[in-house]
Amino acid sequence: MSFIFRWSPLLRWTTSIALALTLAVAACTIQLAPAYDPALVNGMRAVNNDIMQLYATTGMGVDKATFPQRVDEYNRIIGAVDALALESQSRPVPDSAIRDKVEQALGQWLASNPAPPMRRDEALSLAAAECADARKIKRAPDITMPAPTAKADTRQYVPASAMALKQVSRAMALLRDTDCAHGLNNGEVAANKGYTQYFVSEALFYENFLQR
Amino acid sequence: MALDLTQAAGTFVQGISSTVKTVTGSDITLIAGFSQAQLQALAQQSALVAGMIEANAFTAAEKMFYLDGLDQMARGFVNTFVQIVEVEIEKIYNAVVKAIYDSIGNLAGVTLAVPRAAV
Repeated sequence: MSFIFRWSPLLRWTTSIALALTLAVAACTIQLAPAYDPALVNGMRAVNNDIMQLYATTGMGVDKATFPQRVDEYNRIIGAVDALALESQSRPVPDSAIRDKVEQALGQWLASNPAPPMRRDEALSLAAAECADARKIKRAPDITMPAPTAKADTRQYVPASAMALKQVSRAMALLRDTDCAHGLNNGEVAANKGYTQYFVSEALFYENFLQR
Repeated sequence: MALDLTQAAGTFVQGISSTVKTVTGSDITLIAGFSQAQLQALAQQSALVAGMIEANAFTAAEKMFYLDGLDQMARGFVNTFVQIVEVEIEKIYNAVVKAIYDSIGNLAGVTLAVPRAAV
């Protein structure tokens, strides 16, 4: 009878290993999104504080004559936002084959409503040209960027926070150049604030959701 | 010691469904709240931009920027939503895998480490 007691744990082991092996081939954990980066989230919160303070300053309406007092703050914010966007995009994201399949299914709306190819950010170019005129420096030449070539087989994953931060950067550049050339009224500041806060909350929600 | 397959299947189903409920429960509320807040913000921005254009209070560059910006905001929302759902799918998938391994461990009386897929 004693040999039965010795065989029982061995049988258990064999069963579990056989099950584990069959499952191991098919069922391993996956990663579809970048890892959570607390430094990035803190950076985003810090730059958003600066943006809100700038809105508080300009929100009462400012004259373009006082623009030189604010230009450094604008450029600091734009630099910080661009650096954060790059940081967000530089994280490794594995498992692209699985994610492509998921995106095919989910991205129906995006596939049927493709974004128009943007060769030149017209609004920003116009605002920059007006600011150059106001500061009495030469305008940048109108360059038409070449259209992007055919897409590669695997689309590069651009995290939602990187795209959102790029929009924030564009908005801050527009605000700076409009301030430079025309000054700002509170309606313009409110519109800009609505735009940036929309994308900042999107970026922060996405980043916090990565905490999993 | 024969393996009772009916009972084993029951253990798996219970483990998996309770895990999935735990994972998705609070996330769905979060995502719904986020979607609602974003769509409301988009509506407010549309109204503000329309009002500013009517009052002729934008420069030409700003008008271009904010009108196109409304389209950018809508796209941004869809993009973000898709990526958040991808994260949720990842969580659910990994939770199911872990639940399977936990159930195996319970049935077999051993602790197994969950392997990471090699890409």
